[in-house]
Amino acid sequence: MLILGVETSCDETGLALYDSAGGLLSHVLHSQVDLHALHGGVVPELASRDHIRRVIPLLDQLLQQTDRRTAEIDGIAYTRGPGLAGALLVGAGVARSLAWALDRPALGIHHMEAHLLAPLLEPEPPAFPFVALLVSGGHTMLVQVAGVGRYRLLGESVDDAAGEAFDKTAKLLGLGYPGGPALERLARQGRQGVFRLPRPMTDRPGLDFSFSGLKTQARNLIRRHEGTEDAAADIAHAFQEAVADTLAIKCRRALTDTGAGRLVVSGGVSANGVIRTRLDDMARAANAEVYYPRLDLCTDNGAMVAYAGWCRMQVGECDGLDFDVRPRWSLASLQPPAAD
Amino acid sequence: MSTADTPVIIALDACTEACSVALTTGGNVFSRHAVIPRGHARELLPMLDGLLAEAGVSRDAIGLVAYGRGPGAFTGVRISVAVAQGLARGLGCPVIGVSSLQAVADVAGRDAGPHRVAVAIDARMGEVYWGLYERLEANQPLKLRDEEAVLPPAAVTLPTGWTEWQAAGTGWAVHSQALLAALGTAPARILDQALPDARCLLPHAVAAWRNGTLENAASARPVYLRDNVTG
Ligand SMILES: Nc1ncnc2c1ncn2[C@@H]1O[C@H](COP(=O)(O)OP(=O)(O)OP(=O)(O)O)[C@@H](O)[C@H]1O
Repeated sequence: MLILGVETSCDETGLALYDSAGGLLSHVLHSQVDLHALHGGVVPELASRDHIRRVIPLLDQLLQQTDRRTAEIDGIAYTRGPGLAGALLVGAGVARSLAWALDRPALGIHHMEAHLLAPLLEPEPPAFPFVALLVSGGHTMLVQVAGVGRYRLLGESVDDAAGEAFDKTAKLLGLGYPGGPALERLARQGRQGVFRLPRPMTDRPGLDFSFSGLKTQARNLIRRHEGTEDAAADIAHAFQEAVADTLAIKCRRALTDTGAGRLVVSGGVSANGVIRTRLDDMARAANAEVYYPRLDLCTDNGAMVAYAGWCRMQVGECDGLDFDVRPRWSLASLQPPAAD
Repeated sequence: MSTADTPVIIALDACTEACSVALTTGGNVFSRHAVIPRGHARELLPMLDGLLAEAGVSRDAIGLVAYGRGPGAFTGVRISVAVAQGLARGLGCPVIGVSSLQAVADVAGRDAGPHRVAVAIDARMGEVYWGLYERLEANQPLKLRDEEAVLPPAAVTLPTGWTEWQAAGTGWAVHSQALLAALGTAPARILDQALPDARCLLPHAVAAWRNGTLENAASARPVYLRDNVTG
Protein backbone atom coordinates (compact mmCIF):
# COMPACT_ATOMS: atom_id res chain seq x y z
CA MET A 1 0.00 0.00 0.00
CA LEU A 2 1.45 3.36 -1.07
CA ILE A 3 0.35 6.30 1.10
CA LEU A 4 0.93 9.97 0.35
CA GLY A 5 1.22 12.17 3.45
CA VAL A 6 0.59 15.92 3.40
CA GLU A 7 1.49 18.20 6.33
CA THR A 8 0.59 21.93 6.38
CA SER A 9 -0.45 22.57 9.98
CA CYS A 10 1.98 25.38 10.72
CA ASP A 11 5.02 26.79 8.93
CA GLU A 12 6.31 23.71 7.14
CA THR A 13 4.95 22.20 3.95
CA GLY A 14 5.86 18.51 4.04
CA LEU A 15 4.99 15.65 1.71
CA ALA A 16 6.07 12.02 1.81
CA LEU A 17 5.42 8.61 0.32
CA TYR A 18 5.25 5.66 2.69
CA ASP A 19 5.12 2.17 1.25
CA SER A 20 3.91 -0.63 3.52
CA ALA A 21 6.39 -2.99 1.86
CA GLY A 22 9.36 -0.67 1.34
CA GLY A 23 9.00 1.76 4.24
CA LEU A 24 9.50 5.49 3.86
CA LEU A 25 10.37 6.05 0.20
CA SER A 26 11.12 9.75 0.48
CA HIS A 27 9.98 12.93 2.14
CA VAL A 28 10.26 16.52 0.95
CA LEU A 29 9.90 19.70 2.94
CA HIS A 30 9.68 23.42 2.48
CA SER A 31 10.31 25.42 5.63
CA GLN A 32 8.90 28.93 5.90
CA VAL A 33 11.34 29.87 8.65
CA ASP A 34 12.92 32.70 6.66
CA LEU A 35 9.53 34.12 5.75
CA HIS A 36 8.39 34.36 9.37
CA ALA A 37 11.79 35.24 10.83
CA LEU A 38 11.27 38.81 9.57
CA HIS A 39 8.24 39.05 11.83
CA GLY A 40 9.70 37.26 14.85
CA GLY A 41 7.14 34.47 14.74
CA VAL A 42 4.66 32.67 12.53
CA VAL A 43 2.19 34.99 10.75
CA PRO A 44 -0.79 32.69 10.02
CA GLU A 45 -1.97 34.45 6.85
CA LEU A 46 1.53 34.39 5.36
CA ALA A 47 1.82 30.70 6.24
CA SER A 48 -1.39 29.88 4.36
CA ARG A 49 -0.33 31.96 1.37
CA ASP A 50 2.96 30.12 1.17
CA HIS A 51 1.54 26.61 1.55
CA ILE A 52 -0.67 27.02 -1.49
CA ARG A 53 2.37 27.83 -3.64
CA ARG A 54 4.32 24.81 -2.38
CA VAL A 55 2.13 21.72 -2.18
CA ILE A 56 1.89 20.75 -5.86
CA PRO A 57 5.55 21.52 -6.74
CA LEU A 58 6.62 19.43 -3.70
CA LEU A 59 4.35 16.61 -4.85
CA ASP A 60 5.95 16.72 -8.30
CA GLN A 61 9.41 16.66 -6.71
CA LEU A 62 8.46 13.73 -4.46
CA LEU A 63 7.07 11.66 -7.33
CA GLN A 64 10.12 12.38 -9.43
CA GLN A 65 12.51 11.41 -6.63
CA THR A 66 10.71 8.14 -6.03
CA ASP A 67 9.94 7.46 -9.69
CA ARG A 68 6.24 7.03 -8.96
CA ARG A 69 3.09 8.30 -10.62
CA THR A 70 -0.04 9.62 -8.94
CA ALA A 71 -1.97 6.60 -10.21
CA GLU A 72 0.17 4.35 -8.00
CA ILE A 73 -0.93 6.12 -4.80
CA ASP A 74 -3.35 3.94 -2.81
CA GLY A 75 -4.44 6.49 -0.23
CA ILE A 76 -3.82 10.06 0.88
CA ALA A 77 -3.36 11.18 4.48
CA TYR A 78 -3.31 14.84 5.45
CA THR A 79 -3.05 16.72 8.73
CA ARG A 80 -6.55 17.70 9.87
CA GLY A 81 -5.41 19.38 13.10
CA PRO A 82 -4.48 20.71 15.53
CA GLY A 83 -2.83 23.73 13.93
CA LEU A 84 -3.53 26.96 12.06
CA ALA A 85 -6.96 26.74 10.43
CA GLY A 86 -6.03 28.47 7.17
CA ALA A 87 -2.82 26.50 6.80
CA LEU A 88 -4.56 23.18 7.51
CA LEU A 89 -7.25 23.96 4.94
CA VAL A 90 -4.72 24.27 2.13
CA GLY A 91 -3.24 20.81 2.70
CA ALA A 92 -6.64 19.29 3.35
CA GLY A 93 -8.11 20.88 0.22
CA VAL A 94 -5.38 19.73 -2.11
CA ALA A 95 -5.13 16.27 -0.52
CA ARG A 96 -8.86 15.59 -0.40
CA SER A 97 -9.54 16.72 -3.95
CA LEU A 98 -6.49 14.88 -5.28
CA ALA A 99 -7.81 11.70 -3.65
CA TRP A 100 -11.24 12.25 -5.17
CA ALA A 101 -9.74 12.82 -8.62
CA LEU A 102 -7.72 9.61 -8.29
CA ASP A 103 -10.68 7.74 -6.82
CA ARG A 104 -8.66 6.81 -3.73
CA PRO A 105 -9.50 7.03 -0.02
CA ALA A 106 -8.35 9.98 2.08
CA LEU A 107 -7.95 10.41 5.82
CA GLY A 108 -7.42 13.43 8.06
CA ILE A 109 -4.71 12.78 10.66
CA HIS A 110 -4.11 14.18 14.15
CA HIS A 111 -0.79 16.04 14.02
CA MET A 112 0.31 14.90 17.49
CA GLU A 113 -0.57 11.28 16.76
CA ALA A 114 1.68 11.59 13.72
CA HIS A 115 4.48 12.98 15.93
CA LEU A 116 4.16 10.21 18.48
CA LEU A 117 4.15 7.46 15.86
CA ALA A 118 7.16 8.95 14.00
CA PRO A 119 9.75 6.85 15.94
CA LEU A 120 8.03 3.76 14.52
CA LEU A 121 9.51 4.67 11.15
CA GLU A 122 12.98 3.85 12.47
CA PRO A 123 14.73 0.50 11.79
CA GLU A 124 14.30 -0.67 15.39
CA PRO A 125 10.93 0.70 16.38
CA PRO A 126 9.59 0.60 19.93
CA ALA A 127 6.87 -1.94 20.68
CA PHE A 128 3.62 -0.91 22.34
CA PRO A 129 2.90 0.01 25.08
CA PHE A 130 5.11 3.05 25.71
CA VAL A 131 5.09 6.52 27.18
CA ALA A 132 5.46 9.36 24.67
CA LEU A 133 6.90 12.77 25.42
CA LEU A 134 5.81 15.26 22.75
CA VAL A 135 7.77 18.49 22.92
CA SER A 136 7.33 21.04 20.15
CA GLY A 137 6.65 24.72 19.59
CA GLY A 138 2.96 24.24 20.24
CA HIS A 139 2.81 21.30 22.63
CA THR A 140 4.38 19.69 25.66
CA MET A 141 2.63 16.50 26.67
CA LEU A 142 3.16 13.11 28.18
CA VAL A 143 0.95 10.40 26.74
CA GLN A 144 0.47 6.78 27.69
CA VAL A 145 0.28 4.82 24.45
CA ALA A 146 -1.27 1.35 24.48
CA GLY A 147 -1.51 1.12 20.69
CA VAL A 148 -2.46 3.22 17.67
CA GLY A 149 -5.37 5.41 18.73
CA ARG A 150 -5.20 4.27 22.37
CA TYR A 151 -3.91 7.33 24.16
CA ARG A 152 -4.22 8.56 27.70
CA LEU A 153 -3.02 12.05 28.45
CA LEU A 154 -0.76 11.90 31.50
CA GLY A 155 0.20 15.55 31.65
CA GLU A 156 0.69 18.68 29.57
CA SER A 157 1.86 22.24 29.83
CA VAL A 158 -0.45 24.53 31.73
CA ASP A 159 1.04 27.55 29.92
CA ASP A 160 3.85 27.85 27.34
CA ALA A 161 5.01 24.81 25.40
CA ALA A 162 8.69 23.94 25.88
CA GLY A 163 9.56 25.04 22.33
CA GLU A 164 7.69 28.28 22.85
CA ALA A 165 9.70 28.92 26.02
CA PHE A 166 12.91 28.24 24.04
CA ASP A 167 11.79 30.65 21.33
CA LYS A 168 10.75 33.43 23.74
CA THR A 169 13.87 33.12 25.89
CA ALA A 170 16.03 33.12 22.77
CA LYS A 171 14.33 36.32 21.68
CA LEU A 172 15.05 37.91 25.07
CA LEU A 173 18.68 36.90 24.56
CA GLY A 174 18.68 38.67 21.21
CA LEU A 175 18.83 35.45 19.18
CA GLY A 176 16.98 34.94 15.90
CA TYR A 177 13.83 32.94 15.21
CA PRO A 178 13.31 30.03 15.69
CA GLY A 179 15.22 30.32 18.90
CA GLY A 180 15.56 26.69 19.98
CA PRO A 181 18.59 25.72 17.90
CA ALA A 182 20.21 29.17 18.39
CA LEU A 183 19.80 28.94 22.16
CA GLU A 184 21.31 25.46 22.18
CA ARG A 185 24.36 26.79 20.30
CA LEU A 186 24.80 29.72 22.66
CA ALA A 187 24.41 27.48 25.72
CA ARG A 188 27.43 25.47 24.60
CA GLN A 189 29.60 28.45 25.56
CA GLY A 190 27.83 28.84 28.91
CA ARG A 191 29.33 27.68 32.19
CA GLN A 192 27.79 25.15 34.51
CA GLY A 193 26.51 26.51 37.81
CA VAL A 194 26.89 30.26 37.24
CA PHE A 195 23.13 30.70 37.32
CA ARG A 196 20.46 28.37 38.52
CA LEU A 197 16.82 28.41 37.43
CA PRO A 198 14.08 26.34 39.12
CA ARG A 199 12.69 23.04 37.79
CA PRO A 200 9.05 24.13 37.66
CA MET A 201 6.36 21.88 39.13
CA THR A 202 8.76 19.08 40.02
CA ASP A 203 8.36 19.61 43.77
CA ARG A 204 4.78 18.42 43.75
CA PRO A 205 3.11 15.27 42.37
CA GLY A 206 1.64 15.21 38.90
CA LEU A 207 2.85 15.22 35.31
CA ASP A 208 1.87 18.70 34.15
CA PHE A 209 4.47 21.22 33.00
CA SER A 210 4.80 24.97 33.29
CA PHE A 211 7.47 26.85 31.34
CA SER A 212 6.36 30.45 31.32
CA GLY A 213 7.81 31.17 34.78
CA LEU A 214 11.19 29.93 33.58
CA LYS A 215 11.10 32.40 30.74
CA THR A 216 10.22 35.23 33.18
CA GLN A 217 13.09 34.30 35.47
CA ALA A 218 15.42 34.19 32.51
CA ARG A 219 14.22 37.69 31.61
CA ASN A 220 15.01 38.94 35.12
CA LEU A 221 18.51 37.47 34.94
CA ILE A 222 19.07 39.05 31.54
CA ARG A 223 18.05 42.48 32.91
CA ARG A 224 20.17 42.15 36.00
CA HIS A 225 23.28 41.13 34.10
CA GLU A 226 22.94 43.39 31.10
CA GLY A 227 26.38 44.25 29.79
CA THR A 228 28.10 41.49 31.73
CA GLU A 229 30.36 39.52 29.45
CA ASP A 230 29.33 35.88 28.95
CA ALA A 231 26.10 36.36 30.93
CA ALA A 232 23.91 35.54 27.91
CA ALA A 233 25.65 32.20 27.35
CA ASP A 234 25.49 31.37 31.06
CA ILE A 235 21.77 32.21 31.18
CA ALA A 236 21.08 30.15 28.06
CA HIS A 237 22.94 27.28 29.69
CA ALA A 238 20.95 27.58 32.92
CA PHE A 239 17.66 27.78 31.01
CA GLN A 240 18.42 24.70 28.94
CA GLU A 241 19.54 22.76 32.02
CA ALA A 242 16.28 23.63 33.77
CA VAL A 243 14.16 22.47 30.84
CA ALA A 244 16.21 19.29 30.36
CA ASP A 245 16.04 18.36 34.04
CA THR A 246 12.32 19.12 34.25
CA LEU A 247 11.54 16.96 31.23
CA ALA A 248 13.70 14.13 32.58
CA ILE A 249 12.12 14.26 36.05
CA LYS A 250 8.60 14.15 34.62
CA CYS A 251 9.43 11.38 32.17
CA ARG A 252 10.90 9.26 34.93
CA ARG A 253 7.77 9.82 36.96
CA ALA A 254 5.59 8.85 33.99
CA LEU A 255 7.56 5.65 33.46
CA THR A 256 7.21 4.76 37.13
CA ASP A 257 3.50 5.61 37.28
CA THR A 258 2.64 3.57 34.21
CA GLY A 259 5.14 0.79 34.67
CA ALA A 260 6.21 1.28 31.04
CA GLY A 261 9.74 0.32 30.02
CA ARG A 262 9.87 2.41 26.87
CA LEU A 263 9.90 6.16 26.33
CA VAL A 264 9.30 7.68 22.91
CA VAL A 265 10.36 11.31 22.42
CA SER A 266 9.24 13.39 19.47
CA GLY A 267 8.59 16.99 18.38
CA GLY A 268 10.98 19.80 17.43
CA VAL A 269 12.51 20.25 20.91
CA SER A 270 13.63 16.61 20.91
CA ALA A 271 16.29 17.67 18.42
CA ASN A 272 18.08 19.28 21.39
CA GLY A 273 21.29 17.39 22.20
CA VAL A 274 21.41 18.25 25.90
CA ILE A 275 17.80 17.19 26.39
CA ARG A 276 18.53 13.92 24.59
CA THR A 277 21.53 13.18 26.77
CA ARG A 278 19.59 13.98 29.94
CA LEU A 279 16.73 11.70 28.88
CA ASP A 280 19.16 8.93 27.92
CA ASP A 281 20.83 9.16 31.35
CA MET A 282 17.47 9.11 33.11
CA ALA A 283 16.33 6.09 31.11
CA ARG A 284 19.51 4.18 31.86
CA ALA A 285 19.00 4.79 35.57
CA ALA A 286 15.33 3.78 35.27
CA ASN A 287 16.19 0.69 33.25
CA ALA A 288 14.07 1.93 30.37
CA GLU A 289 14.73 2.46 26.69
CA VAL A 290 14.36 5.74 24.82
CA TYR A 291 13.41 6.06 21.17
CA TYR A 292 13.70 9.16 18.98
CA PRO A 293 12.84 9.73 15.36
CA ARG A 294 15.79 10.70 13.17
CA LEU A 295 16.49 14.43 13.43
CA ASP A 296 14.66 15.50 10.27
CA LEU A 297 11.53 13.68 11.44
CA CYS A 298 11.51 15.38 14.87
CA THR A 299 10.11 18.61 13.45
CA ASP A 300 6.99 18.81 11.31
CA ASN A 301 7.13 16.61 8.21
CA GLY A 302 4.97 14.66 5.78
CA ALA A 303 6.53 11.28 6.58
CA MET A 304 4.91 10.97 9.99
CA VAL A 305 1.54 11.88 8.46
CA ALA A 306 1.92 9.27 5.73
CA TYR A 307 2.88 6.68 8.34
CA ALA A 308 0.00 7.51 10.71
CA GLY A 309 -2.23 7.42 7.63
CA TRP A 310 -1.04 3.93 6.80
CA CYS A 311 -1.58 2.72 10.39
CA ARG A 312 -5.23 3.67 10.04
CA MET A 313 -5.95 3.21 6.34
CA GLN A 314 -4.58 -0.34 6.24
CA VAL A 315 -7.70 -1.46 8.09
CA GLY A 316 -9.96 0.59 5.84
CA GLU A 317 -10.39 3.76 7.87
CA CYS A 318 -11.20 6.73 5.61
CA ASP A 319 -13.12 10.00 5.43
CA GLY A 320 -16.08 11.17 3.42
CA LEU A 321 -15.78 13.85 0.76
CA ASP A 322 -15.84 16.72 3.22
CA PHE A 323 -12.53 18.00 4.55
CA ASP A 324 -13.27 19.88 7.72
CA VAL A 325 -10.18 20.80 9.69
CA ARG A 326 -9.79 20.86 13.48
CA PRO A 327 -7.52 23.65 14.67
CA ARG A 328 -8.14 22.40 18.23
CA TRP A 329 -8.41 18.67 18.64
CA SER A 330 -7.70 16.61 21.72
CA LEU A 331 -5.38 13.65 21.26
CA ALA A 332 -7.16 11.61 23.93
CA SER A 333 -10.40 11.75 21.92
CA LEU A 334 -8.90 9.57 19.17
CA GLN A 335 -10.07 6.00 18.74
CA PRO A 336 -8.20 2.93 17.52
CA PRO A 337 -8.21 2.42 13.73
CA ALA A 338 -11.52 1.12 12.43
CA ALA A 339 -12.95 0.54 8.97
CA ASP A 340 -15.56 3.09 7.86
CA MET B 1 -22.60 28.08 -25.71
CA SER B 2 -21.34 25.79 -28.46
CA THR B 3 -18.99 23.22 -26.99
CA ALA B 4 -18.48 20.78 -29.86
CA ASP B 5 -14.72 21.24 -29.76
CA THR B 6 -14.32 21.35 -25.99
CA PRO B 7 -13.93 18.59 -23.39
CA VAL B 8 -16.02 18.11 -20.28
CA ILE B 9 -15.32 21.18 -18.16
CA ILE B 10 -15.99 21.53 -14.46
CA ALA B 11 -16.05 24.84 -12.63
CA LEU B 12 -15.98 25.57 -8.92
CA ASP B 13 -16.02 28.64 -6.75
CA ALA B 14 -15.78 29.13 -2.99
CA CYS B 15 -14.46 32.70 -2.84
CA THR B 16 -17.44 34.32 -1.13
CA GLU B 17 -20.30 33.14 1.09
CA ALA B 18 -21.57 31.28 -1.99
CA CYS B 19 -20.26 27.83 -2.88
CA SER B 20 -20.98 26.62 -6.41
CA VAL B 21 -20.04 24.01 -8.96
CA ALA B 22 -20.92 23.65 -12.63
CA LEU B 23 -20.21 21.25 -15.44
CA THR B 24 -20.62 21.39 -19.18
CA THR B 25 -20.71 18.36 -21.43
CA GLY B 26 -21.78 18.25 -25.04
CA GLY B 27 -23.59 21.58 -24.81
CA ASN B 28 -25.50 20.73 -21.64
CA VAL B 29 -24.85 22.65 -18.46
CA PHE B 30 -25.38 21.34 -14.92
CA SER B 31 -24.82 23.40 -11.82
CA ARG B 32 -25.33 23.74 -8.08
CA HIS B 33 -25.16 26.82 -5.93
CA ALA B 34 -25.54 27.22 -2.19
CA VAL B 35 -24.97 30.12 0.19
CA ILE B 36 -23.08 28.45 3.04
CA PRO B 37 -20.58 30.75 4.71
CA ARG B 38 -17.96 28.57 6.49
CA GLY B 39 -19.37 25.38 4.94
CA HIS B 40 -17.33 25.32 1.73
CA ALA B 41 -14.78 22.68 2.74
CA ARG B 42 -17.57 20.41 3.85
CA GLU B 43 -19.79 20.87 0.81
CA LEU B 44 -17.63 21.53 -2.24
CA LEU B 45 -16.60 17.98 -3.16
CA PRO B 46 -19.95 16.39 -2.28
CA MET B 47 -21.62 18.98 -4.55
CA LEU B 48 -19.19 18.18 -7.34
CA ASP B 49 -19.59 14.45 -6.88
CA GLY B 50 -23.37 14.81 -7.01
CA LEU B 51 -23.14 16.94 -10.12
CA LEU B 52 -21.11 14.34 -11.99
CA ALA B 53 -23.62 11.66 -11.05
CA GLU B 54 -26.48 13.87 -12.24
CA ALA B 55 -24.74 14.56 -15.53
CA GLY B 56 -23.73 10.91 -15.94
CA VAL B 57 -20.09 11.91 -16.42
CA SER B 58 -17.12 10.01 -14.99
CA ARG B 59 -14.19 11.82 -13.40
CA ASP B 60 -11.65 10.77 -15.99
CA ALA B 61 -13.72 12.42 -18.73
CA ILE B 62 -12.99 15.84 -17.21
CA GLY B 63 -10.59 17.78 -19.42
CA LEU B 64 -10.46 21.20 -17.80
CA VAL B 65 -11.03 22.67 -14.32
CA ALA B 66 -12.14 26.30 -13.97
CA TYR B 67 -11.89 27.89 -10.53
CA GLY B 68 -12.82 31.13 -8.85
CA ARG B 69 -9.45 32.67 -8.09
CA GLY B 70 -10.60 35.55 -5.87
CA PRO B 71 -10.69 38.20 -4.64
CA GLY B 72 -12.90 37.33 -1.70
CA ALA B 73 -12.60 35.82 1.77
CA PHE B 74 -8.97 34.60 2.03
CA THR B 75 -9.87 31.17 3.34
CA GLY B 76 -12.60 30.62 0.76
CA VAL B 77 -10.31 31.75 -2.03
CA ARG B 78 -7.70 29.23 -0.91
CA ILE B 79 -10.27 26.43 -0.69
CA SER B 80 -11.25 27.22 -4.25
CA VAL B 81 -7.67 27.20 -5.52
CA ALA B 82 -6.49 24.25 -3.38
CA VAL B 83 -9.34 22.05 -4.62
CA ALA B 84 -8.70 23.10 -8.22
CA GLN B 85 -5.01 22.23 -7.82
CA GLY B 86 -5.75 18.80 -6.35
CA LEU B 87 -8.37 18.00 -8.98
CA ALA B 88 -6.23 19.08 -11.90
CA ARG B 89 -3.13 17.27 -10.62
CA GLY B 90 -5.13 14.11 -10.03
CA LEU B 91 -6.99 14.27 -13.32
CA GLY B 92 -3.92 15.35 -15.24
CA CYS B 93 -5.74 18.25 -16.83
CA PRO B 94 -5.18 22.03 -17.09
CA VAL B 95 -6.91 24.73 -15.06
CA ILE B 96 -8.12 28.25 -15.67
CA GLY B 97 -8.72 30.84 -12.95
CA VAL B 98 -11.51 33.41 -13.24
CA SER B 99 -11.90 36.56 -11.16
CA SER B 100 -14.72 36.71 -8.59
CA LEU B 101 -15.39 40.27 -9.71
CA GLN B 102 -15.78 39.05 -13.28
CA ALA B 103 -18.12 36.28 -12.09
CA VAL B 104 -20.33 38.83 -10.32
CA ALA B 105 -20.36 41.05 -13.41
CA ASP B 106 -21.40 38.03 -15.46
CA VAL B 107 -24.30 37.35 -13.11
CA ALA B 108 -25.49 40.94 -13.65
CA GLY B 109 -24.94 40.82 -17.40
CA ARG B 110 -26.36 37.37 -18.00
CA ASP B 111 -28.73 38.39 -20.82
CA ALA B 112 -25.84 39.00 -23.27
CA GLY B 113 -26.99 42.51 -24.15
CA PRO B 114 -24.65 45.51 -23.89
CA HIS B 115 -23.81 46.32 -20.30
CA ARG B 116 -21.62 48.36 -18.02
CA VAL B 117 -21.28 46.86 -14.58
CA ALA B 118 -19.53 48.34 -11.55
CA VAL B 119 -18.77 45.42 -9.24
CA ALA B 120 -18.06 45.90 -5.56
CA ILE B 121 -17.51 42.90 -3.27
CA ASP B 122 -17.40 43.60 0.46
CA ALA B 123 -13.75 43.28 1.51
CA ARG B 124 -14.30 43.96 5.25
CA MET B 125 -12.06 46.44 7.06
CA GLY B 126 -14.02 49.28 5.46
CA GLU B 127 -12.97 48.42 1.91
CA VAL B 128 -14.38 46.90 -1.27
CA TYR B 129 -12.92 44.79 -4.04
CA TRP B 130 -13.68 46.87 -7.11
CA GLY B 131 -13.83 46.12 -10.83
CA LEU B 132 -15.48 47.77 -13.84
CA TYR B 133 -16.75 45.59 -16.67
CA GLU B 134 -18.22 46.48 -20.03
CA ARG B 135 -19.72 44.77 -23.03
CA LEU B 136 -20.14 47.21 -25.85
CA GLU B 137 -21.53 44.76 -28.41
CA ALA B 138 -24.10 42.08 -27.70
CA ASN B 139 -22.85 38.50 -27.24
CA GLN B 140 -19.28 39.52 -26.50
CA PRO B 141 -17.76 38.73 -23.10
CA LEU B 142 -17.96 41.37 -20.40
CA LYS B 143 -14.44 42.75 -20.25
CA LEU B 144 -12.52 44.28 -17.38
CA ARG B 145 -11.66 47.97 -17.83
CA ASP B 146 -8.58 49.18 -16.01
CA GLU B 147 -7.52 47.03 -13.07
CA GLU B 148 -9.15 45.24 -10.19
CA ALA B 149 -8.48 46.98 -6.89
CA VAL B 150 -9.14 46.91 -3.17
CA LEU B 151 -9.96 50.35 -1.85
CA PRO B 152 -12.20 52.36 0.48
CA PRO B 153 -15.66 53.07 -0.98
CA ALA B 154 -14.91 56.79 -0.92
CA ALA B 155 -12.03 56.26 -3.36
CA VAL B 156 -13.92 54.62 -6.26
CA THR B 157 -14.35 56.39 -9.61
CA LEU B 158 -16.14 55.69 -12.89
CA PRO B 159 -14.68 56.28 -16.35
CA THR B 160 -16.07 59.25 -18.26
CA GLY B 161 -18.88 58.22 -20.57
CA TRP B 162 -20.38 55.75 -18.10
CA THR B 163 -23.89 57.16 -18.12
CA GLU B 164 -25.95 53.98 -18.34
CA TRP B 165 -24.54 51.40 -15.88
CA GLN B 166 -25.47 48.84 -13.24
CA ALA B 167 -24.10 48.07 -9.84
CA ALA B 168 -23.53 44.50 -8.60
CA GLY B 169 -22.03 42.71 -5.63
CA THR B 170 -22.26 42.61 -1.86
CA GLY B 171 -20.14 45.74 -1.52
CA TRP B 172 -23.21 47.63 -2.71
CA ALA B 173 -25.25 46.24 0.18
CA VAL B 174 -22.72 47.24 2.81
CA HIS B 175 -21.39 50.52 1.38
CA SER B 176 -24.06 51.82 -1.05
CA GLN B 177 -24.18 55.33 0.40
CA ALA B 178 -20.45 55.86 0.39
CA LEU B 179 -20.09 54.36 -3.10
CA LEU B 180 -22.89 56.50 -4.57
CA ALA B 181 -21.53 59.61 -2.87
CA ALA B 182 -18.08 58.95 -4.32
CA LEU B 183 -19.40 58.37 -7.83
CA GLY B 184 -21.97 61.19 -7.85
CA THR B 185 -24.16 59.28 -10.32
CA ALA B 186 -26.76 56.55 -9.80
CA PRO B 187 -26.86 53.15 -11.51
CA ALA B 188 -29.85 51.93 -13.53
CA ARG B 189 -30.18 49.11 -11.01
CA ILE B 190 -28.33 47.69 -8.04
CA LEU B 191 -27.92 43.91 -7.68
CA ASP B 192 -26.47 43.98 -4.21
CA GLN B 193 -27.17 40.29 -3.57
CA ALA B 194 -25.24 39.09 -6.62
CA LEU B 195 -22.63 36.45 -5.74
CA PRO B 196 -20.22 34.59 -8.01
CA ASP B 197 -21.64 31.46 -9.62
CA ALA B 198 -19.55 28.66 -11.11
CA ARG B 199 -21.86 28.63 -14.15
CA CYS B 200 -20.43 32.00 -15.10
CA LEU B 201 -16.93 30.52 -15.17
CA LEU B 202 -17.77 28.07 -17.95
CA PRO B 203 -17.78 30.49 -20.93
CA HIS B 204 -14.39 31.82 -19.82
CA ALA B 205 -13.11 28.26 -19.61
CA VAL B 206 -14.36 27.50 -23.13
CA ALA B 207 -12.70 30.65 -24.43
CA ALA B 208 -9.42 29.83 -22.67
CA TRP B 209 -9.53 26.29 -24.09
CA ARG B 210 -9.92 27.67 -27.61
CA ASN B 211 -7.22 30.29 -27.14
CA GLY B 212 -4.91 27.85 -25.42
CA THR B 213 -4.48 30.24 -22.47
CA LEU B 214 -4.53 27.52 -19.82
CA GLU B 215 -2.49 26.95 -16.66
CA ASN B 216 -1.25 23.77 -15.02
CA ALA B 217 -2.16 22.71 -11.48
CA ALA B 218 1.04 24.04 -9.93
CA SER B 219 0.53 27.52 -11.33
CA ALA B 220 -3.06 27.90 -10.09
CA ARG B 221 -2.85 30.88 -7.72
CA PRO B 222 -5.20 32.90 -5.58
CA VAL B 223 -5.59 36.60 -6.29
CA TYR B 224 -6.15 38.35 -2.97
CA LEU B 225 -5.72 42.00 -4.06
CA ARG B 226 -5.16 42.79 -0.38
CA ASP B 227 -1.51 41.99 0.12
CA ASN B 228 -0.58 43.92 3.22
CA VAL B 229 -1.53 41.30 5.80
CA THR B 230 1.21 41.50 8.41
CA GLY B 231 0.24 44.87 9.95
N1 LIG C 1 17.84 22.13 19.17
C1 LIG C 1 16.69 22.61 19.70
N2 LIG C 1 16.62 22.92 21.00
C2 LIG C 1 15.47 23.38 21.54
N3 LIG C 1 14.36 23.62 20.85
C3 LIG C 1 14.38 23.34 19.54
C4 LIG C 1 15.54 22.81 18.90
N4 LIG C 1 15.24 22.63 17.58
C5 LIG C 1 13.97 23.03 17.41
N5 LIG C 1 13.43 23.46 18.58
C6 LIG C 1 12.11 24.01 18.82
O1 LIG C 1 11.12 23.16 18.28
C7 LIG C 1 9.98 23.93 17.87
C8 LIG C 1 9.55 23.51 16.49
O2 LIG C 1 9.12 22.18 16.56
P1 LIG C 1 7.99 21.52 15.62
O3 LIG C 1 8.28 21.87 14.20
O4 LIG C 1 7.90 20.10 16.00
O5 LIG C 1 6.74 22.17 16.22
P2 LIG C 1 5.68 23.29 15.87
O6 LIG C 1 5.28 23.25 14.47
O7 LIG C 1 6.22 24.56 16.40
O8 LIG C 1 4.51 22.82 16.82
P3 LIG C 1 3.48 21.61 16.74
O9 LIG C 1 4.16 20.43 16.18
O10 LIG C 1 3.11 21.46 18.17
O11 LIG C 1 2.35 22.11 15.92
C9 LIG C 1 10.40 25.39 17.96
O12 LIG C 1 9.85 25.96 19.12
C10 LIG C 1 11.93 25.31 18.06
O13 LIG C 1 12.52 26.39 18.75
